[in-house]
Amino acid sequence: MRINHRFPFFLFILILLIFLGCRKETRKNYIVIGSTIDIDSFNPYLSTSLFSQDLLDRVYLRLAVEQEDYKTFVPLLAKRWEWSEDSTQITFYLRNDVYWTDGVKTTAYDIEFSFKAATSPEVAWLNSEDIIRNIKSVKALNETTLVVKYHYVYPYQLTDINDIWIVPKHVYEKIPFSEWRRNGYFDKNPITNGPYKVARWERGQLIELVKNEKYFDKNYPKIKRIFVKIVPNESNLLLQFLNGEIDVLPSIPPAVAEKYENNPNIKFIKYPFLAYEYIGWNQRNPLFADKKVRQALSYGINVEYIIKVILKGNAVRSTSPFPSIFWAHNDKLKPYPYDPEKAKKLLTEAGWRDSNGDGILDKVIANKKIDFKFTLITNAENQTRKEIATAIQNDLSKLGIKMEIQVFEFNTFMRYILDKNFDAVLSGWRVATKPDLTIIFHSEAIKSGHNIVSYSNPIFDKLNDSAAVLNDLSRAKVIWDKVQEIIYEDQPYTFLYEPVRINGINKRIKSETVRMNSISFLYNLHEWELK
Amino acid sequence: MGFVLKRLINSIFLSFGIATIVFFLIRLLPDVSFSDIYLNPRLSEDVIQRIRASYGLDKPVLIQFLNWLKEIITGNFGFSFIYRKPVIDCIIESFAPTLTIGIPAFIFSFGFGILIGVQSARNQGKLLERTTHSLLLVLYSLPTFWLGIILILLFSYTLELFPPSGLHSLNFNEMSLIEKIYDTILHIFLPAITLGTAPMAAIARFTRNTMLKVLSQTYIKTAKAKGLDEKIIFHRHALPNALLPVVTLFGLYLPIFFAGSVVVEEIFSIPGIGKLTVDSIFQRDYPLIVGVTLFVSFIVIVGNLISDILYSILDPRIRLK
Repeated sequence: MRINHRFPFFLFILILLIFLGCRKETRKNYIVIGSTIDIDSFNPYLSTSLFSQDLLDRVYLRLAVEQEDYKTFVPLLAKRWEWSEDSTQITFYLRNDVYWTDGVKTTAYDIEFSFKAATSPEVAWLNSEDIIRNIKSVKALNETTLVVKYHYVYPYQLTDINDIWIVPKHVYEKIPFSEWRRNGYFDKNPITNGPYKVARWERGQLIELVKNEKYFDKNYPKIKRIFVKIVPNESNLLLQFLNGEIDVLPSIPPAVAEKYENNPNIKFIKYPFLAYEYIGWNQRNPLFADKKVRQALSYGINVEYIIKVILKGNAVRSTSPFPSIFWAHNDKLKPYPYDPEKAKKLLTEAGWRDSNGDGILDKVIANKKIDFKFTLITNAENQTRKEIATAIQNDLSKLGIKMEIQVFEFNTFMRYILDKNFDAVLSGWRVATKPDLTIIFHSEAIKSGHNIVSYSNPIFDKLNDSAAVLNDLSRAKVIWDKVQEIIYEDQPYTFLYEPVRINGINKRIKSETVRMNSISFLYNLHEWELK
Repeated sequence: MGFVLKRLINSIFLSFGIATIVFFLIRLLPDVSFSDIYLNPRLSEDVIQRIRASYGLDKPVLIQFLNWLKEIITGNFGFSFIYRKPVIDCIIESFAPTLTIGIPAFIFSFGFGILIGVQSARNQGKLLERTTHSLLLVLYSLPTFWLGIILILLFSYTLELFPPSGLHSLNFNEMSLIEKIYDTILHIFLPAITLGTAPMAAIARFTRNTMLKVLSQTYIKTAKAKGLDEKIIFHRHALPNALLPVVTLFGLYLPIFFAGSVVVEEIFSIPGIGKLTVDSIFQRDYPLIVGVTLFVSFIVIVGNLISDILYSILDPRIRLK
């Protein structure tokens, strides 16, 4: 083929582009956080993803900062607080020098308004339930004094009031609660009061946070400009992180972290996450109604293998609905060992045997012979879960149990779970920092709640109810230990593992200034420093 | 003119037909609209119903459909749940990035496609031509997501020539106009190539084939027999006839470039129509799903119309009726 006479022209353009493209950016004084998803809204009551909350916590101040022990609080917007004699009331004394970015002062009236928003059924805030049940009233006495009254005394009074997002009354009250979900007003020019303020939000592209000059502590933030770059494609995101274009990358899969462990420019920060992965056995299904069967399944799944091979060791075995780093966790419980023989024995005791020699266990239930066949569902977005499901399928086939795997897109998956329309589910819970198993295991939560497996045990119900309201945490711990023993015995779930979260940072950031934990991976973003 | 008008009106009705089907089909999927409120275990049924009612979702599907129809006639395409703004605004905002990638990709694929196709036909049978021909087949069959990642790996990660994602740099707002234009061009480059490669290969192969077909026609032989110059035969007699079917591809390929590519937009983080479509379906944002469907089907239909019109302009034997 003859070279076209236009070819030199194209070549010239290409070379020009290459030369211009080579200009490397000079030393950056900002950092870039990578994310596959964007935030939902700058109205914190409409923003539900974990990532949204992590980010919004950098621009909105709370009354106090929850510490990494999940028990103590350090003053922030509230300078100090006093408990009433009978502990049903807390009086907060607020700072007098906190301003919203539009210059209006942040006062107790903002919090009073925020409480109304948090509890409004029209706003339908995701975390409203505990607030409505426990807090009686929130009242501003004057600009800096706030009185919070509770229905009763319980250990997590501070946690609950601190969960409320404090939003600017003078801005938010312009839109009635019933209109909040239908109004883009809150996202146009977010008015905030934290160390950072929102400079730019290009939906699906990037968020720019800059230092809030009005922030009361003039020493912070140290890094004055933060970008959040949204790249839905994980491979692209990882390449940008390795390349130094992105400085902070949350939730890195274990296999990827292992591969780049020795990269000189990046550092991985690993920490236990207040969460656990489990298999839920739907106890409405006659297959899983018998506790012996559920125990057998727990003995029959090789969790050690899953942790070692699939998770590359980045997980801790889970034994109870309270993660091991949490104070309420019962340390005496040992994980179900992988013991297929014992599993088989338990299954035989429960009446399951292979009577027709087809390799699948069967049993006569309600005059009908049924095979031990079921479907495990999980969500498509989570590659690790899909791999784990396959490992479990393999383990169970050795016991003569036939398990199919079905994978759904996340929202559809949630719909199936909440409708209790499944046999078994592979999923995970993130654990709240106050122990309460009502929502997932209480028999009342079968009808309205997240007791998706329809577990019901009256002794559990009674103990759980008494422990949840006990104000003396050491006495509560004794009951929680007992509660966990019951769950351990009944195995409504097979508890798999507690994930270790792996986040990556570029070594441009002084890693000693970075604190990441289960509360947020941006926990002290305003204190981070560049080298 | 009458024909065009008739076709346009037809196309509007056709778009509506498609949107209507989608309107009902999408409701066969499990309802996960407002999935966040469903996750709130103690939220009473009453509140959920009230929120759904504020979007008109409490009524029977048929009534919802009639309401939708009524609104559409008055030019109101509905209100998006997830973006909390009118559907029409969502589409307009997403269409700009799609166009920014689509137009260069369009020019690239037709420009290079025709160029390579014509040159291939001229040099048919030579080694280089045969290699190109096979290479085009490879390019045509490459999965887009793979090609995208490979291009990023090569040009952004290893060579650091082009930015790997987005439509402009982080400090875009502080740039001068020239820098802004240049910055945008750099950002467009990889996604446009990724989007345009497969069509480019298809167009090149198509052009080559039609060209060869024309070159074997008797009138070309006649021209040769007359002793006409090869160049004149090629450019004046063969080329216009060969390009005729290629031009019709313009319309057919229009949706590939302008209806938003889900894959390319996902890889390069471009907030275009493709991403809008996916988001709306995953979150069951019904008004948005129907709005986007309406828009995309309209583009497809208009593309076909353009094909027909171009054909009639280029080939006087064909008249639009």
